[in-house]
Amino acid sequence: MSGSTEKTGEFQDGHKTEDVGRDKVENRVAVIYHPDYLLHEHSPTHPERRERLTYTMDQLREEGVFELQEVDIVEPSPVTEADMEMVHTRGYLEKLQRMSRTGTGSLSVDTQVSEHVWDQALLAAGGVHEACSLAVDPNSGYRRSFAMTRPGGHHAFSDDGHGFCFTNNTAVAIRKIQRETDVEKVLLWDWDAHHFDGTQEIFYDDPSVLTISTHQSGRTLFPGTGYEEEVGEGEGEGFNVNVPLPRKTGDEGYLRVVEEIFEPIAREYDPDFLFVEAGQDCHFTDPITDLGVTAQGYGRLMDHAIDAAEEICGGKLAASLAGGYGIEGGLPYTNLSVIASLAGLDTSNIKEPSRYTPPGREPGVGNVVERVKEVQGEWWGLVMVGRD
Amino acid sequence: MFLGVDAGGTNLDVVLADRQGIISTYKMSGDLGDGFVDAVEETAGEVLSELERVVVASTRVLNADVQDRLPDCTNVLVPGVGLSPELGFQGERNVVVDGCIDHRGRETEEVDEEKLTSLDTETATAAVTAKFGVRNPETENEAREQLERSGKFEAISIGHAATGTPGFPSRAGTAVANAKAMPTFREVADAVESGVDHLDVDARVYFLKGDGGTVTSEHGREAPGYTVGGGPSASTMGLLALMRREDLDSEDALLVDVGGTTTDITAVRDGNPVMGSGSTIDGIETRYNAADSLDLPYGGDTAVGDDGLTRYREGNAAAFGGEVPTLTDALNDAERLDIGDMGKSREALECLAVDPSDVFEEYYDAMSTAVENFVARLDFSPSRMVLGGVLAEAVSEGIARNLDFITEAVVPEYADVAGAVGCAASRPSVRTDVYVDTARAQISVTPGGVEATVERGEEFTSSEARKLVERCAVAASVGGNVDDERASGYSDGVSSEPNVEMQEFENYNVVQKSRKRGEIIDAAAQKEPGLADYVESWGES
Repeated sequence: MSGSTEKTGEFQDGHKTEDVGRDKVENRVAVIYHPDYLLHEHSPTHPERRERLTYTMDQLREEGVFELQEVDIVEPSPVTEADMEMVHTRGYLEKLQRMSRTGTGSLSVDTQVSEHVWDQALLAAGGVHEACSLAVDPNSGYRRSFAMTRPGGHHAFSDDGHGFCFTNNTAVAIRKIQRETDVEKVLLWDWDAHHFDGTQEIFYDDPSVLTISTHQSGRTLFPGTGYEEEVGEGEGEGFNVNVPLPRKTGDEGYLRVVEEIFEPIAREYDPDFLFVEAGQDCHFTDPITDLGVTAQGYGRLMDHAIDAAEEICGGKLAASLAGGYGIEGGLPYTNLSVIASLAGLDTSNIKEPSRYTPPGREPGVGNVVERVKEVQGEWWGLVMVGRD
Repeated sequence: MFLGVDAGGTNLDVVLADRQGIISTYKMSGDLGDGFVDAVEETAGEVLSELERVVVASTRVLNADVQDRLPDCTNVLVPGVGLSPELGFQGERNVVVDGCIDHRGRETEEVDEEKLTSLDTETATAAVTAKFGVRNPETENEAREQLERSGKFEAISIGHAATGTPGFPSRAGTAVANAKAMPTFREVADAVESGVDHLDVDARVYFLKGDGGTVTSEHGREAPGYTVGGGPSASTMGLLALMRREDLDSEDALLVDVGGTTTDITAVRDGNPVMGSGSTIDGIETRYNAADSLDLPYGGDTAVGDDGLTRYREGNAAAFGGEVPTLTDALNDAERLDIGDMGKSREALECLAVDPSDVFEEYYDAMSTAVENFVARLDFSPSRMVLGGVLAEAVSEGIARNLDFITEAVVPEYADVAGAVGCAASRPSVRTDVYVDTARAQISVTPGGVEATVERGEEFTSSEARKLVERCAVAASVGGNVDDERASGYSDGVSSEPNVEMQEFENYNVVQKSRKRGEIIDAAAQKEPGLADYVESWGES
């Protein structure tokens, strides 16, 4: 706390009461969650373990988030196998089902299949789809949504998975939304610390989904891809944007990328819907990445996403939790920050407790930003500012 | 033996019971302060040494609230990091103090003691609530000690004693509600405890809660909000106990308590009272369960004027020395009732231009309209109505007559002291929150006062973890400690089963640097309210 406040006055009610009409809440947010998201485990000490969600839910409950008018928990339903087939090959889905039945085997050294994988993959894609569906439907009662699902999906290709991912939740949800609603053009911003290699592959030749990834450079982090020159192919050429950032990039660097690359491209692309794949592993406490974003920084990133959505697509915005392995010191605060931002709540006091010290300095990102502009300038009107 | 005491403000009803049934009853004018010792001696004077439990229902806090006499509260919040503390601003004055506890219960920033001690006295009471205070009770305890040392407040409540349920802003509200109720409840508890001491009775003292369970006197003093609904729930539990043999389990029923100032109606489904949205104190939601009750402003003492029944009590009925005739007098006059001085009832009514029978017909009409709305709101289809209170016999037929769906209206034996019966018939109950962190060798149990320990790195199977939580719930309900409960097999003194419902249960690992360092058990269990086992056998002998 910096300083303290004091208020004297009439009784104020801090939670839901009957007399406040739900319709009057402007920024009502659906947090999509299901207890079954805790079932799958690669192994009890794996970075992508169930505690990623339990510690966050613990923080959200104590904050009273779900007692607020602005936020509800919504339980999703699974997608169908046919939905999965819009993205994944029949052969791969059968292989996953088979492995899941026995609960054995792995897709890569760190991506183990448990007996819960198949059911939970359907439910995770269902959760992301629910988030999209509520956000694009003007009559859903929800302005925006945030899906807290497991396992993640952005390293899942059409016919394989790795990097803790089995099926590509986001791709399945977007395909389903495009099929079932008026939404045609989708802008997908993936701010996970890792490059979205699976998502990039799935939409690489598709101009109806503009994919932007801001991530720690593949030179220093898994999966080793995601360079500026990977711009899409065929009709999708110019509809894939990679921003590979240097180690220790923090709040300021990310905000510069947002303002100079994400926002101008978003405006020019003019999508019907904005989706944010919110990897919280850019946080400075994350044990498997090397970036420097704070809980405050995450709130600012989401604020920018909201402003962009309001400007370009009538506010239609959904987000889902992707990575994030700072289980105790990161996720409870970064998730709270983005949910509070989505709900239009005061985020000024959302920060890490003093036992976690944010990095003091961060590197410049000017070189990367200018390089991205050079490459993407062929398709988008980006203003060169100058290298560091 | 068990003593049930129902203190409604003007009358004091006492019932002595044992495992076989009701032994004696006593009714007197007065309240706990002046009448408790006499009433206990009258009822149980011969068997004082055999009393095991004394259970009291009091409406004193409720009455003080209705009359707008509860004190203001300074709401001290230690929010640490997170959402705006303004979400928890539920006091007349709200003060935010630096300090932080994280989700594992570690104090990451010390509480600003200077700010605490320099608070000025603007309100009679204070409440202290820290975010995650439930995980680290010392923080709130120490803050309370600081405030107590300054001697500025009459009563100070703390968040983790109010509830272990997560939700810092709501818990702060509950703590404020408790602080407001504390001074009044303290008078009630002092009167009962000093009376018990005076009579040299070695019985545990409990208070009835709004949900029909009982809470220990110690816990009641820390969280008096639990007891605010105890007055109304006493008659509900009493009528349930008196109807036990009539198989209320199998059908919906309405319970009607015809009191002096109000008539209170509750619904029974599957043998249990239907719960509402919880008690409020001074407009603040306490989150403490209470029966969904329909309270009509008409009772035996409701005054009668030239236009018929009013909605107010101006004093006793004329039959009991009052100045203004009441519903009781109208029933006396029509010979539906025969209590007090019948002549005085007649005299008082003769001065008015109103037909006595119109008075109670008006009461029946008001009742039936309200009951129809109540039944519709609950989507409820009762066929039986059970009535308690002194007037029950006189009005039962009249109330039931206008309600087509009621096929039977019953006034059981002892209905006139139903509230005291309810106290003698209820069992210990409490919601208990347990948080175990074996990596830190920490266990915190809410409500406090329960002694329990875990070893660093101790491992629990899921069923062991659940058993630990159950044991904590039973221990908390009787103010015992967990190891005793283990030895005595979950006994709360009146039940053969633990009656514990697990409401929330999470058990997960603490992993640091790729190694498991311990585990967390985060659970809530409710030791269910309800009738004591022995009520089953009442009346069988």
